[in-house]
Amino acid sequence: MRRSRRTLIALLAVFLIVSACGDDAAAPQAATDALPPATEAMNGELNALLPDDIRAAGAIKAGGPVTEIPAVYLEEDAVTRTGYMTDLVNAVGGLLGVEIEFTDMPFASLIPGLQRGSIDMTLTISDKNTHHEVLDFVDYLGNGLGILVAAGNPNGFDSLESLCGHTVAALAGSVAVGVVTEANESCADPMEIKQFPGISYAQLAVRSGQAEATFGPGATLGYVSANLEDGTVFEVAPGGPYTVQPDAFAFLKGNDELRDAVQAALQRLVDDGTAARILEKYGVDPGDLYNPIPINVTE
Amino acid sequence: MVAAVEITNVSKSYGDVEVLINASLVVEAGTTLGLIGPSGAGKSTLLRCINHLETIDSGTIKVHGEMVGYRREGNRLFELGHSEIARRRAGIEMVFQHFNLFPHMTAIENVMAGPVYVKGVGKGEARAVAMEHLRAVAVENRADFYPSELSGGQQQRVGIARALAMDPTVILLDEPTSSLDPALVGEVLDTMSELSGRGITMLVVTHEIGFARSSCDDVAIMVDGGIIEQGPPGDVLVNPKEERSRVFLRRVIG
Amino acid sequence: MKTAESLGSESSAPVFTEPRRYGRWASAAGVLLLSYLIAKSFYTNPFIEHSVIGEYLFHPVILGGVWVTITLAVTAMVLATVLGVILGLMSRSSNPVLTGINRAYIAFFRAVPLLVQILIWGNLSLFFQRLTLTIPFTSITLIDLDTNDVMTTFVAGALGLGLHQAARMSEVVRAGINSVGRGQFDAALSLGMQRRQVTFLVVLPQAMRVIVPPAGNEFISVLKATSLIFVIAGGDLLTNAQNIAATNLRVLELLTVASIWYLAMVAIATAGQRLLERRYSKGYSGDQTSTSPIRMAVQKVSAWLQR
Repeated sequence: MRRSRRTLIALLAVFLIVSACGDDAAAPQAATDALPPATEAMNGELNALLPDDIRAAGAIKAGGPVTEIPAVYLEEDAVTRTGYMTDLVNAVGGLLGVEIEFTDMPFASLIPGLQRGSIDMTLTISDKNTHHEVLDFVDYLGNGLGILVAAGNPNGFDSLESLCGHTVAALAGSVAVGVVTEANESCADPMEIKQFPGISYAQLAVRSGQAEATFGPGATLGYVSANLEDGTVFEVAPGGPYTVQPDAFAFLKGNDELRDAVQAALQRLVDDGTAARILEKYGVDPGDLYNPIPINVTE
Repeated sequence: MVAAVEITNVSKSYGDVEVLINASLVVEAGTTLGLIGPSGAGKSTLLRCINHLETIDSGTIKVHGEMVGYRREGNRLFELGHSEIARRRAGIEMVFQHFNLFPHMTAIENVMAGPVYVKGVGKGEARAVAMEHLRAVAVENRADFYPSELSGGQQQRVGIARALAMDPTVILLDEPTSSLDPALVGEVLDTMSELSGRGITMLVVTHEIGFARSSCDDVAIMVDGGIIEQGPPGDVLVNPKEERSRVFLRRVIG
Repeated sequence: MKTAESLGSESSAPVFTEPRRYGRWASAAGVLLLSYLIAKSFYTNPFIEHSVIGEYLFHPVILGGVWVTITLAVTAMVLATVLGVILGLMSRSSNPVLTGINRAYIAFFRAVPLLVQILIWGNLSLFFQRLTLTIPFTSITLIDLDTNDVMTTFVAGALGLGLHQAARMSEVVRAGINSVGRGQFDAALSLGMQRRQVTFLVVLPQAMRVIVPPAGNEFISVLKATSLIFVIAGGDLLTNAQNIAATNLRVLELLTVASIWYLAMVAIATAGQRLLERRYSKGYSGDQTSTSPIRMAVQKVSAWLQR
């Protein structure tokens, strides 16, 4: 009796060891990017734009998930935040003379977080004109939406119309979902739109075949298709970019002082080329940077 | 003539504790044997070995010449499979100290359970027969009551009816009145006495010496895992051969 | 002897009277008042738009989510119960292969978080692109299916929830079987019943009394755990409500809508559990007196009306 119990445990151990390992996309070289030389005068000037309570606290609370490669994600030590949004907002904080306090929150909790004041700004909500009643967006990147498919583009997608009759994955509550839903209305053979809680889940669905394409921000799609397993897993379908989904920092409406301070700091970063350098480091095209930095550009 | 129950040199241990030590007992067909003795002597265990509710370590137990739990190949005894054991239990029924009626069935459903599910008798026919058995033990007016609604004495009589419904040739009764109120003991003993007159083989583990004296054809005394006396009550209870029997009887009878 | 007739002031036999329970009335009034105040503070809260709640309470997307939640929970629970009974019986076997399987199953499916299990089933095609069943040593294929065709969100959710829940149900069933006294086995076996008959005719019906209350709890947990299918883009009640809220920013209102539906579903499930408990308590006396406040209040009022 004891022998067969041991054999069972051994068999089970073998079974458990057989598992698929997740692949980590190669992170870009961790180069220290230099903040622009901040003079006393510059810091003081921008710092004065901040609302009193934030200046007193010495920190801006920023919320966003950490699973949006290459925008906001974690280094291999699984602790250090990195990504172009992270670096940009840190640079903004440096110019304003305050710390940035990051809070890891899922996409769906960001707006409630703003509303109850547990965060002052969000990192990963893209500018969406239906939100302008409640939020103000400081836009910096005209990120176009694109279609990500399995390598080889087996269904030959090349336009929004070509998605008709197929399964499309997208981030729940994002601009992308709104765009495909609208496109779906003119489909003879309707799309099946699957809404996922994070962009990485949507990409996983394409990888496992649960969805035939995912529709999302171009910067992410480009990065993932180029870098995941040396670019052998995904590719960006031709025919983009569709609808601009601007990357922005979002604030609760009425927070004009903080909004304007961040806008001014971002403008400075665009002017002296820091923003472009940050984007290039993560493989994002700096040509999409807004100049001047607008507010609520999708109005 | 083959004895109804033949227990030969049976031993059994629970780990280090020896419960049965070379116990031997013979019960002739159609007789009633009362098994008495001090607590912990192994009486209930011996009874439960007869219908293979317990296993034995050595020796043999035969009911009407056939072993219930084992088969013999040459010099070895192998335990039988569960379904074969269940089949061989037919004809041997048991009445328990704590009644063990099925609480989710009414009295009559308890009595019907054996015939319907084991013998495959139709429910209508089984119900009629069950009613007869309940009448025989004077509980027929409680037929549709649940065991929790019956007195202890009524429950035990239903237990006896349940055993009888299977038309057994051997009935094993394990201290059937030990859990009863003294006032109710009499009615159950009366039922048992009536049964013993019917010609069924009965093996009763009991503390009721009065019953042993008046209703049993044979009495056996069990002490420390073995049978030390067996014979008619007139002999065993009055003139026991063994000293240990005398010690026990002095304590019980005085 | 009780008599309700009054024999006038010369009556010598005292009449049994229900004592006036002032404490109970006072505390009942206090509880009602407190409930009213809490409800009122929610109702008049300026941050909640009631029209939105009304607008979405019967919205097709919400109703679709309710339907998915119910069907998924029921399917998973049926799977879990059947498998749980099998596993629970296995745990009491004398066959070490069976007890080994039982222990391994429970160890694995209880330990791995439900979210992970659902993720794995939903993305099973990452591990196995096709599901095939072939007879070994031959080339005869019995089943050959594309994994993604089989693993719909519903199937993946039902499997993830059901298999995880089966591990929990098996322990509940085991406790239930353990609660049946040894004497019941003895009586059934000595009647000559086969072991399967003993299990299904004698032991399980009695074990149900101990199994049903925690099983009812488990079902209510499963009802709520269905929301985990959000991670494979499933459309249960909570996920749909949150997706709507992501678009119209009415988070509190949509969560209220979802909560109202969960309350309704759980109330129905609880009533069902009570019915099951009563059915399996046939023949057991002692714990039948119900002190449900609603029933007692109704009795009191109707008695007062009949005076």
